[in-house]
Amino acid sequence: MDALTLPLSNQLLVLTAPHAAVKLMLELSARLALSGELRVLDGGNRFNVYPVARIIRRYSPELTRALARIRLARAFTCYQAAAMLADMPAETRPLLVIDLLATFYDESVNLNESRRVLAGCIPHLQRLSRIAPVVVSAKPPAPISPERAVLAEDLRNAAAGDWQLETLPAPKAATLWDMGA
Amino acid sequence: MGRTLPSITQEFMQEQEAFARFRRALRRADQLALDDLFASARQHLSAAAYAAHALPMETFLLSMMLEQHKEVLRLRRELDELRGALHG
Repeated sequence: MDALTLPLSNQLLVLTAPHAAVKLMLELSARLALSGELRVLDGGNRFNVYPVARIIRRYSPELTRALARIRLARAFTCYQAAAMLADMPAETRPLLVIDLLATFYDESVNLNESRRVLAGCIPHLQRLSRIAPVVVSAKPPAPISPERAVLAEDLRNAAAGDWQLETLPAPKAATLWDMGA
Repeated sequence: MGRTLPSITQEFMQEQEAFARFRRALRRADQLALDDLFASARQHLSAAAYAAHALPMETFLLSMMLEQHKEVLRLRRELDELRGALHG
C-alpha cells in the first residue's frame, strides 16, 4: 500500500500490521507535513524523526518548516494515552496515532483494566474523527499473550475503516534452474 | 521510558548499512577507500550528535570532507616544506 493512495477523509481508520505499520505511518506523517499541520500521538515510542526528515527532504527544501508542522506527543503508559486523547481538542488537523495498543499490551496492567481504559479512548478517537481524519495503527499482541488480541478487535470494531496489512514473504532470488523451467 | 531517537552511532551504522550493496559492487581497492571515508566520519560522531541535525547523513558527509581537507592541508604543507628544502 502506498501512503499516497491512503484515503484521508474525516473518519477513524485503523491499520493493523506487524510493527504497527510504522514505516507507512512515518511516510504518511511526512506527506501530510508537506501540505499542512498534523498531530501525532506515539503510543509505542516508534516515531523516528530521521526517516521522516529524509522523506520530506526528497520532496521539499523546506525541511525545518515541514518538521515544525508536526505536533508530536508520546504516551508511555495506557493511562497517559487515554489522558492525552481525552484532553485533545477536536481540530481540523489530521491525527495519526502510532502503535496505540503498545502500552495496552503491557503485562503490568491486567486485561480487564486495559479493555476498560481502551473503551474510554475509543469515544475520543471517534469524537476527533468527526472533523478530521484519524488514522490509528496497531500491532497484534505478542505470541505469549494471545488473549490480548481482543484489544485489537475492540479497536477495529470501533473503526469506520479497518485495514489489516500483512508482511509479504521475502522474494526468492531466481536461480539458473528456475530460468530454465 | 527509553530513548525517543536512535543514538548517532546507531544512525551512522544504519547509514553505512544502507550503502552495503553499493560497497559490494565496488572494486576491492575502492571498498577500502570507502571504508576509510566512513572511518573518518566516525571520528566526528560526538560533534554530529551535538549538531542534532535532522539529516545526520549530511553531517557525516561534511565530516568526511573535513578529514579529506585536513589531508589536503597536510600534503600541501609537506609539499611546501619539500619545495623549501629543494630551493633552499
